[in-house]
Amino acid sequence: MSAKDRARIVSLPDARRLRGCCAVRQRTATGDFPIDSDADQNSATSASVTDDHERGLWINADWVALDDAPPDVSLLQHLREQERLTGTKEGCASGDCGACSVLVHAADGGVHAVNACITPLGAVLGAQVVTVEGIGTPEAMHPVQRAMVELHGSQCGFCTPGFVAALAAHTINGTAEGIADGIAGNLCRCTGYGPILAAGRIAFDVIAREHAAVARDALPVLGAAAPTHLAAPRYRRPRDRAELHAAMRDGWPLIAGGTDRWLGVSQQFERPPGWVDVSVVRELMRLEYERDELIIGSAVTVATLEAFARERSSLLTEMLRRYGSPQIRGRATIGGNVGNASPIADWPPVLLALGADIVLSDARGSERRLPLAEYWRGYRETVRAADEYIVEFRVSGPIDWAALKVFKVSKREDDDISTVLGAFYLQRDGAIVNKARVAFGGVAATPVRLPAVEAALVGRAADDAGDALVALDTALAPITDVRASADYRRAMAAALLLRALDDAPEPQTLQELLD
Amino acid sequence: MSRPHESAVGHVTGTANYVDDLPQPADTLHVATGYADAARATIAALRLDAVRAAPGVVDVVVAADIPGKLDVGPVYPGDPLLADGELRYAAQPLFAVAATSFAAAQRAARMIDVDVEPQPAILSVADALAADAAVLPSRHWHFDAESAATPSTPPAPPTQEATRIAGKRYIRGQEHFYLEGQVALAIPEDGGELRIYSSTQYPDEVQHLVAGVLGIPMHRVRVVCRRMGGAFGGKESQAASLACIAALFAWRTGRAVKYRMPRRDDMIQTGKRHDFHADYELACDAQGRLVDAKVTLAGKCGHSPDLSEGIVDRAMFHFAHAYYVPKIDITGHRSRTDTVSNTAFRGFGGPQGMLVMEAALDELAHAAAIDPLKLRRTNLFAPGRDVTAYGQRVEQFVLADMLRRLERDCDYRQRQATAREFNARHKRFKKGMALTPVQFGISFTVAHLNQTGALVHVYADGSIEVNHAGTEMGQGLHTKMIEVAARVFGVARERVRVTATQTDKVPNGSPTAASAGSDLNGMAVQRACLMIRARLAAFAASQAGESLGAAESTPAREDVRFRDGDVSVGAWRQSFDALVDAAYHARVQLSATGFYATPEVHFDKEAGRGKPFYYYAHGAAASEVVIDVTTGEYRILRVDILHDVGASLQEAMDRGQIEGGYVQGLGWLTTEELLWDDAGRVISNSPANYKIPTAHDRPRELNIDLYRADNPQPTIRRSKAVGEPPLMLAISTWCALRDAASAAGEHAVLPRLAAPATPEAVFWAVREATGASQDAS
Repeated sequence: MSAKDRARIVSLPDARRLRGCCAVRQRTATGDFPIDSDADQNSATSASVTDDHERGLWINADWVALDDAPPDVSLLQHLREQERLTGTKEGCASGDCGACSVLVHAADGGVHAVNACITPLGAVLGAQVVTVEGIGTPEAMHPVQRAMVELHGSQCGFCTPGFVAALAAHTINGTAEGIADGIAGNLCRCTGYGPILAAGRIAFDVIAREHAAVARDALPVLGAAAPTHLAAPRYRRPRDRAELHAAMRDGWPLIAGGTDRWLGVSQQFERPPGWVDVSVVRELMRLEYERDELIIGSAVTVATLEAFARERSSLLTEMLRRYGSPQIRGRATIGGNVGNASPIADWPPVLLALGADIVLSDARGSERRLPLAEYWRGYRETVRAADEYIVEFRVSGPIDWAALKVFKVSKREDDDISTVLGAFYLQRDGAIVNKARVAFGGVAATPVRLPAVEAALVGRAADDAGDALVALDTALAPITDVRASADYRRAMAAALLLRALDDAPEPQTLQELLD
Repeated sequence: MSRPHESAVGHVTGTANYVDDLPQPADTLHVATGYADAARATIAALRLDAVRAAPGVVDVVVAADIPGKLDVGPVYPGDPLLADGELRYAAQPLFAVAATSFAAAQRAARMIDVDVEPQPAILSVADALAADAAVLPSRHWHFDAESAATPSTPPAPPTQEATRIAGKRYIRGQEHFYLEGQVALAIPEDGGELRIYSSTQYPDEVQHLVAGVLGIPMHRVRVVCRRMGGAFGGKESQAASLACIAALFAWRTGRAVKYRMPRRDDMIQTGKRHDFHADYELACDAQGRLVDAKVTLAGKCGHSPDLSEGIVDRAMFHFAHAYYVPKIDITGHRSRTDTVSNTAFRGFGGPQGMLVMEAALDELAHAAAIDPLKLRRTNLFAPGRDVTAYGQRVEQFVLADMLRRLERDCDYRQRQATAREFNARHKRFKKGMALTPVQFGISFTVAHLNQTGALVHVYADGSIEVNHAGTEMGQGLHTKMIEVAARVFGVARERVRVTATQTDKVPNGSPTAASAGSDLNGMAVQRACLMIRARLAAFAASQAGESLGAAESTPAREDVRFRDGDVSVGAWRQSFDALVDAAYHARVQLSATGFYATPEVHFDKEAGRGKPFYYYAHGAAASEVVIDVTTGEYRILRVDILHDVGASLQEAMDRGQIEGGYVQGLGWLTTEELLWDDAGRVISNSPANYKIPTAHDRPRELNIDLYRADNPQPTIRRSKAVGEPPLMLAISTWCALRDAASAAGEHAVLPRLAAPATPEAVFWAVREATGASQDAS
C-alpha cells in the first residue's frame, strides 16, 4: 500500500476499516471498539463531564481503556510504568530537557510534540499519543530515524527518542530552515547538535520526496482516532463555563497546560484529590475581537498566540520563538502564565504594555474586570480569590502593533526564563512621544508597569530620555539571583528602554543584524 | 561514509535499554534519600518515625546500619555513604528509605525530622585559602630549564624580560548534566550474590565499594553496564554510592532495589567540575618569548578528596599548556569547602589550567603589543625547547603546522580585517576573534590505572562476542572495538557484537576515563583477537596442507589471510564460518583474554617529575563572535576546528567527540553558570536555571577538519585519544568574546571577563573596556 493510499484510508473515521488496514488493536475490557462512528464521536464531544463514556486513550495504534486518570500520574509515568513503553525517557521531570517528548494527535487534528513528564495523563484522555515506538521500529524506521542513524545524530542515545519525536513533529508543523526552533526544547549533551540539525534537514527532503510533502503520512500509526476530550473521575475536563462551575464544587486545583502547575507533582510529589482542567472550556479559548476589544481567553495557548502574533508584530513573534519550547508553547496558556504570578513571566509585561484588563470569575459566574496592573499584590500574591479563575484578558481600542516593542534578555537564547523582559507601547508624532506604556518583568517582586517613566517620556523627543531613565531607576527593585545580579537587571531595563526609543533604521538586536 | 554507532538504531527507535528501562523483578523497591539544608552542622537528633510510617515504606537505613565500610571514597577516605553524626555539605544524605514506588520513597524522605547545630562553614575557595583548609596537601613544582638541560639540549641563552603581567582569575565549575541521571538496580541472586546494573564508568569500583559496604568478598558482586545515557566523568566515582545503597537494601530485604536520582537530587548531591581560583604572573622578552611564569591554582574540591588529587595535578600539568616556559613555579592547592565533593569532568582540571594560561597570554600580548596568535606561535614547544614543567620531553611538534594551516584555511587574517571594518562601522555591535591551540596529555596520571583486559569468544557459528572493561557512554567505544575485532578477523562488522561491560567477564578493569578508553581496550581486544586468529591460522594452515596433499609442504600459518569473510592461504580458501566450525570440531580453543598496560608512563607526584603522559593529543580552533555592547548578548558566528586524532579508528565517532566536546566546552565557558547561595546550597539546581547549550547556541557555522598524522607511539592502529581534548577548543570562543568586549573600547583595555562569559559577564567586560565604572560590586 502506498503512503498516499494509507493517508486516504486512515483519514476515514470508520474505525472498522482502520482495524483491518492499520493493525489497530483494541484493548478494552468489553471488547467493543470505543469510537465506532461519526455519531459516536459527536456524542462523545457533547457528553457532559460526568458522563460515563468509555474512557481511555490511543497509544500508538492501541486503544487503551482506563477507569481513571490518577491525579499524580503523568503521561510519561503511564507510558513507562503501565505500558512498558520505555523508549520515552525521563531526563528532568520538569519540561526542560525534552527527553520525554511524544506526539499528541490533538483535538484540532494537529500533531504536536509535548513533554510527557509534565502532561497529566488525564489531559490526553481520548487523544492519540504516538511514542518513539509508534513513530518507527527498527524494521520500519521513520525518515527522521533513518536520517539520525545515517548522520550520527545519536551518541549516548538517551535524549534521542525525544529528538525523534520533536523532529517528527517539526516535519509536520515547521520549516526546513527552522529546525533549530523545532528542537529548541530538546537538550543533547553529546553531539553538539550539528548531526541532529543535519538529520532534520535530510528528513525534510526525504519526506518531501517520498511522501509528496505529507509529513503526517510518515507516521505509521497516525490517524487511528479522531481525538475527543474525555474526563475521568479524578480529572474533570469541563467543556463550557457552566460545566466548569460544577466541576469546581470540591475546590480541586485548576490546571490548564500544566507546564508550570504540574511541577508540583513531578518535582514536589504533591497528590491533590483531583484536578479541574480548564484547557478546553469553550469560552476561555476565545481569541477574537468583540466590537473594538481584543479578547484573549485564559486557555489560549502560547502556540496559538504565536500564530496570531506572526501577522502583527515581528518583535512579539521573535520573543515567542524564544518562549519556552515548541513542546511548552503547545500546552502553556496565557492564563497560566499570568495566573501563577511569577515576576519573571513573559506575558504580563506584554499585556501591561498593551494596556490590558483582566477578567476574573467566581464559581457562580460572577465576574469582575480590573486593569491588569492591579492584579498583583506582591511576590507570588494576587487579588484572585481562591474560588476565582481568570476568564480572559481584554485590550480596548485599536492596537497599533508597530508601537509595541518587546525585548527579552536571558542567559541562554532559547528556552530560558527571562533575566529582564521589557515591553513598550510607544507612539509618536514626529520625534515627540505622545503615548507611552512601559512594563517590565524581572525587575521587581511582580511584573510592573511604570507610569512615572511613561510620564517622563510623553511630550518629549524620543532621544530626550534622561528623566525617564532617572524615573526608571527609582521605580525598579530588582534582586540578585541565579539568573543575574540586581545591577545587571537595572542596566538591562535602561538598555531595553533606550532600544525601544531608538527609531534608527539600523538593526536593534543581534537577530536583526544577522537575519 | 563512516558506519553508524553500534546502538544507533536502538537509540532512534527507543529500543536501546538504560538501567531504568530494564524489566524489573516483581516487588522491586525504590530508594530516596533524606537530607538537611545546613552546609556544615552536627546532627543533634534525627527522628525517622514519620518516615518509617509513611505509606509504602519497607525499610530505612542510617549510617549505623551499614554492615561493612561506611566510607566509599574512591582513592582516599572521606565520603561516608550516609552522614555519620556530622553534616559536611547541604543536601548530604542522612538516611535512605526504600519504598514500593519511586514517588512513595520521595514523599517518605521528605518527612525527615532533624535537629542540626550549624557550625561555621567554609563555602568559597577564598575562605578555604584564608583558613588553610585543604582535603589533601598542596604541591609545589618548580622547573628551571638550566637545571633540566642535558648535553644534547643546552639551555637557551638567558633572555631579557621586557613585559610582565600579573592577575587573578576565577573559573567556575560545570554540572555534568548527563541526560540519564544517576541510577542503579540491585538484584539479589543465588547464595548471597548480588547482580548490580549500574550506570557507571567504573564497574570495578562499584563492585569493590559494594563489597566493602556489605563486608563481603568481591566475587559475590557482579556489576553490569551495557550503556550510559552520558557520563562525562560524572559517573566515574559518583555512581557508586547509588549502587551501594541499592545493594544494601537488596541485602537487607532480599528484594530487587532501584535507586534513581531525580534530577534535582542529582544536581545537588553529586560532584561537578571544580571551580578554580588562579593567581598568576607571566613575562616575555622583546621578541615575545616567554621568560618565566608563576601560578597558584586552587581547586574547589568540596568536602572530601574524591578524585581531586589528580584533578588539581592535571590543572598544574596543563597550565603551561602547549608552550615552552624556561622557568616556572606552580603551586596547587586542594581547597576544602563544605560543599558537595567535586569530581571528574571531561578534561579533569586540564581545561581550567589551560584557560588560565590562554587568558594570560592574551593579556601579555595586549601589554606587549604583540599579535596574540604570533605570541602563541612563538612559544610553542619546539625541538630544543621541548621540556615541560614536569620534566616530560615533548616529542611530536605538530601544533605549529596545525596553527598555520587553520589560520590559512579559515581565512583568519582576512576575516580579522573584515571584523575590524565592521567594528569601525558599528557602535552597538562588535566582533571579536581568537585562535588558540590545545595540547592535552594522554594517560591516567595514576600509573596503575593504565591497564585493562578483554575477553573474546568466537562461537561455533562464526559469530564473535567481544567484551572488555571499557564502558559505553555514547562516545562510540564499542563501535571502535567492533572495528578492531572485525579487522583482525577480516569479517563484516555485523558479525561482531560487543556485550555489556561486566565485572565477571573481565576483572579488575579501570574506569573508562582520561580519554584512554580506545587506547587501552583497543589494544587488549586486539591482543585477544590475535591470539584466537593465530590458533585459527595454524589450524587453517594444517587444513590447507592436508587438502593440498603430501606433494606440497604445509603452508606457514603466517601466510594465512583473513579477509572479506574468508580465510585463505595460497590457493586454499574457506569461509570464516566453515573454518570456525571445522576448528571447533577439531577442538581448537576459540576464546581468549587480552591484557594491556600502557608502557613508559611514570610520575613522582611530590617532585613533579616524570613522564605522566604516553603522548599528547592536539587541536586548534578559530572563533569569531559578535556581541551587543548594550546588553552583553552575543552570537557565535563561526568556529573552525582542526583536530589531531592520529590515524582515526572511526571517523564519525571522532568527529562526534570533537563537535560534542567543543559545544560542551562552549557551555562551560558561556551559559552554564554553577552557583551556590550564601548558605552553601547549589542554586543552579535544575535545567530551568542551569542552561546547557541548545541547538541555537551552536556556532552559526562550524567547520571541523581532522589533522591527519599517525600517532608516533604504537597505539592501537596509531590512533589518538579524543574524548577530552576537544572540550578545550572552546577556549578560543571565550577569548574571542573578550576580544569583542575589548573592541567596544577600541582595544585600549583588555577587560576582565568572567568564566563563564554569560551575557551579563560580557556586559561588565564591555563596561570595563569602555571605561564606564560598574555601579556596584
